[in-house]
Amino acid sequence: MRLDMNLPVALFTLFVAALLQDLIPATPAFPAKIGLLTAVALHAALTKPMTVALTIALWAGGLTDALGGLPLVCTSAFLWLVYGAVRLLQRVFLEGTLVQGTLLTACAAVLQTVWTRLWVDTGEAFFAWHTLERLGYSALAGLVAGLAGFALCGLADRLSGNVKPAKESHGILWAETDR
Amino acid sequence: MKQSKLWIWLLVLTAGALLAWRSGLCDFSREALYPYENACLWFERTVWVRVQAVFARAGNASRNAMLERDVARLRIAAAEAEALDAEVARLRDLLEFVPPVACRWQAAPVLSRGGTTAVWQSLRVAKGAKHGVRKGDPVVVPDGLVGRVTEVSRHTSEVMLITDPNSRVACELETPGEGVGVVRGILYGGGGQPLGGDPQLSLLYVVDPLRLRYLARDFEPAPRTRVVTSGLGQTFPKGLTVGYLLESRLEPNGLSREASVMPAADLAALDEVFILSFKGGRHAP
Repeated sequence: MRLDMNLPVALFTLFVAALLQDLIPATPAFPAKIGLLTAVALHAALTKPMTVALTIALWAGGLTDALGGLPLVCTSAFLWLVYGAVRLLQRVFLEGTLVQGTLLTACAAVLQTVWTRLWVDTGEAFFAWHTLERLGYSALAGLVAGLAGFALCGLADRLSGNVKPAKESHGILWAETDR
Repeated sequence: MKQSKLWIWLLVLTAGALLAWRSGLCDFSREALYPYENACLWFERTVWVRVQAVFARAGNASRNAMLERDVARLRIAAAEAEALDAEVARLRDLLEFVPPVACRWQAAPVLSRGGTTAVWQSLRVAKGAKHGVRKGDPVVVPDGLVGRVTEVSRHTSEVMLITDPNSRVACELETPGEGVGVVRGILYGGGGQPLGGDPQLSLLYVVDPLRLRYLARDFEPAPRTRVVTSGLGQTFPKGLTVGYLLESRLEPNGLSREASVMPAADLAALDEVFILSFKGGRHAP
């Protein structure tokens, strides 16, 4: 029986993402966390089959909530909704490339900040300037997270053999030939 | 097909665990990351510090001389404190005064700040139930109060900072000569609500001051008055420095006064904190 390399890759990338996201602090100068777990879930949504992507989204959400002091289904529910949206957008234009993944993670980070704010009351006024300021920081953090997360997941997929980066002379990926 | 079944099983099991074993999952995730976060801390404190030392020997020499002077000064202070302790003990014996419950403190290195989301103002420290830490234990640094322990796993604890919007600390102003109850209030954590005004767009990030509410309306405290814990909340012992008063004004309802307070400790730059544990349970001496 052939081992499904998606499982060890998912465990590894989620673990590294959780560790880095937890360790990199939100400083007074940049008060937003780099959402690497969201980036890993989005990479899975763009490149993996449905059951794998949904499971990774659930794990990423659970880790974010458990380590961030949020209600335990808050981020998982958000990532499942994003998965649905990503699958719809994939029919139109979205692909699992680094650039599109980075931009997608930045958008998701902004939406996640709003979603989290709806779930927990931090005592701050929502319709205020500082909310816009915070959303701006979230977008910047999302750009960084998307770049790092998609690079990490892509590397892990290539090293594990999930995706073959070699190209034929006419430019078609080996991975494309399996579809 | 089999691989798809495996993922479906994993999905169902994870969903079940999320719904049925919530607190256990939180502890499990914290404990799973603990060894690696501790390894990062060890690397920073032993290896990285030495690498930095290679490039900063001159600075270290002057810092060392300054620390030696501090140690000498603290030795004198400790000797004076010993004499005072003996005197206090003798006077307590004379008065048959029951001393407050003893507390012990232990140093705890900071593992991470704000968890994975930074929604809450919190720290994770590398001391937990194994070291005798319990929920509600106060956390301090030499400059002042930091917060309280809110979650405890085997090796780690979550600390809610006094700047968290959910934080409430019973405090009083150190104002000699005023009557009891005149200068007591409740300190509220930050939350982007400046004193008596609407939030405004700020280009530079400024630490939100804390709000000390329900002070007596007729007493106007002077700026830079020291704010200390009153011990009335049964969580923090009396007399811990919390911060310094910036300004005060009447609350909109006119019944009491509120003040803005700047925390005494630099909460954004904590590397190590001290957890106070009371042997006989919660106590306000």
